[in-house]
Amino acid sequence: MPLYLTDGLEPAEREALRKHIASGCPRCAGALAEWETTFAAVPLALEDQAPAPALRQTLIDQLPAQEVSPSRPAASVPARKPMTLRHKLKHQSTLRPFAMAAGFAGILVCISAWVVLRESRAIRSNYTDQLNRQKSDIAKLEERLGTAEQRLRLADQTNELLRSPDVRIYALAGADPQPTASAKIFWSPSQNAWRVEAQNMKPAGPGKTYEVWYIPKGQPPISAGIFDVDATGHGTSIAKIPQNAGPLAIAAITDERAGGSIGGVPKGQIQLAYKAE
Amino acid sequence: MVQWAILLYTPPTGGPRPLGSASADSFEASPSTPSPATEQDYALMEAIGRGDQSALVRLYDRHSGLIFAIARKMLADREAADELVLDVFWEIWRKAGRYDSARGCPKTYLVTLTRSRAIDRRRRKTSASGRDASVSANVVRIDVSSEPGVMARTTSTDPAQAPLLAENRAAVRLALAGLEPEQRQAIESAFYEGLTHTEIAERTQRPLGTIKGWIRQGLTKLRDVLRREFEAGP
Repeated sequence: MPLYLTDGLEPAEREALRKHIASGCPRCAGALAEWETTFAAVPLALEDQAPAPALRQTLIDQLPAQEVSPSRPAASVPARKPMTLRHKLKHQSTLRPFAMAAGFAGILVCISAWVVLRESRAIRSNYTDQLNRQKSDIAKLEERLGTAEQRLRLADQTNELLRSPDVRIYALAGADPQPTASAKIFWSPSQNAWRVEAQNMKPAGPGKTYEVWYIPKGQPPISAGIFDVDATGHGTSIAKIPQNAGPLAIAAITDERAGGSIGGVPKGQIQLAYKAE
Repeated sequence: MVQWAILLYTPPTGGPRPLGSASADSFEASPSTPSPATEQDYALMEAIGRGDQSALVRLYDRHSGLIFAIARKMLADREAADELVLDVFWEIWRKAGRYDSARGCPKTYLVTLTRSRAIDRRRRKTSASGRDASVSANVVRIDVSSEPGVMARTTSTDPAQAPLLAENRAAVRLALAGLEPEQRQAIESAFYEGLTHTEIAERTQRPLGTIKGWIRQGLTKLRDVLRREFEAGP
């Protein structure tokens, strides 16, 4: 879970865990909440700092105006002469058509306003939905762009390595567990860059990862990077080899516990290997 | 006693903690109730969800100092940090209905949102200035000590909160100080600079597995220390 939170999982692993959490697993949701709280505690060590004083009012000004009913002063009404009953009846019969017409007009106005309001709400809702969809699309595109940029950076680094005059290339062949897997190691001693590009590999399995080994003749293996494979079976790693390491006798890739072997000692099964002549 | 304003949450087997209720499994100042500060924040978020503008302003008064401090750490520009604070609280207003109390207390939500928006801004700025293949060249190096000359004050309008905030700050600093230097640096690079593990490995010239181990172990230790600090009680 900490690796998920800090962008430390491969895309396939991240997506799988995201879907699992989204499916409603209460234990994982609770664990994620706790880890999020832990990670969010990091900046609590900072001293509070005051933003620009005007910011508060700017926030208030941005908020939509809330309707306020002003208290209206009572209108002054001129005194009226009291009406006799006959006058009242005559007055009422004269006013009745106008009252009815005003009533109908008022009803028509209300209905029209309601229709217009409903339409505008529907239109606004439609635009809001479109906007939300577009924001979601933008977020996805940005994520893909980030991934593509990362791959491009890795490709640039590989090209740089290939241009090195002392670059050596080793081809590793798949062993029994993965006979169709393959890997190439690009190594430039002058740049001290040891780069592995693996293809057609199966995922390492739950709680496991792949680890690369540089094995000099007559010496213990040296850990030279770990990696996980993506959905296409591709994995890559880059590491440095100690300057005093002896000449390469064997290069191998094994499956180890997640995070890499303990104490730099391979315990897993060999997946791919290269043996120097 | 360290009054703990962060709710460290472990759910009961039945599911997440609903808003307004307490859980015997939640890690808080007292075993069964959240701290008063946290409860206030929950109430404010609920009020904001109902459209209470004054609640948003109170939330701003309580936490804008922390949000601005984070923004200032992550963005080089003070003006950009001010804009970010405004964006964060405006987004809280617009999306108050989306806040899920089961995911963590409001303060966690605020911090997480601030970090996410700061990283978005940094990436937009990097894209605008042209792609740079070197990770170390386009990353703002963060000095995690306080910047000299910056006036630091708590912006909480509740004087009773100041000692609590100071205690919490001291507890978190103590917890971070208990980490190995490389663990702390890796975690802070991940938080403040938004670097992936691969990018941290490239910058530090360490194997990726090592970086993953540092971050996992560091966060685990941080979680355990914060839990112990909380459970120490009065």
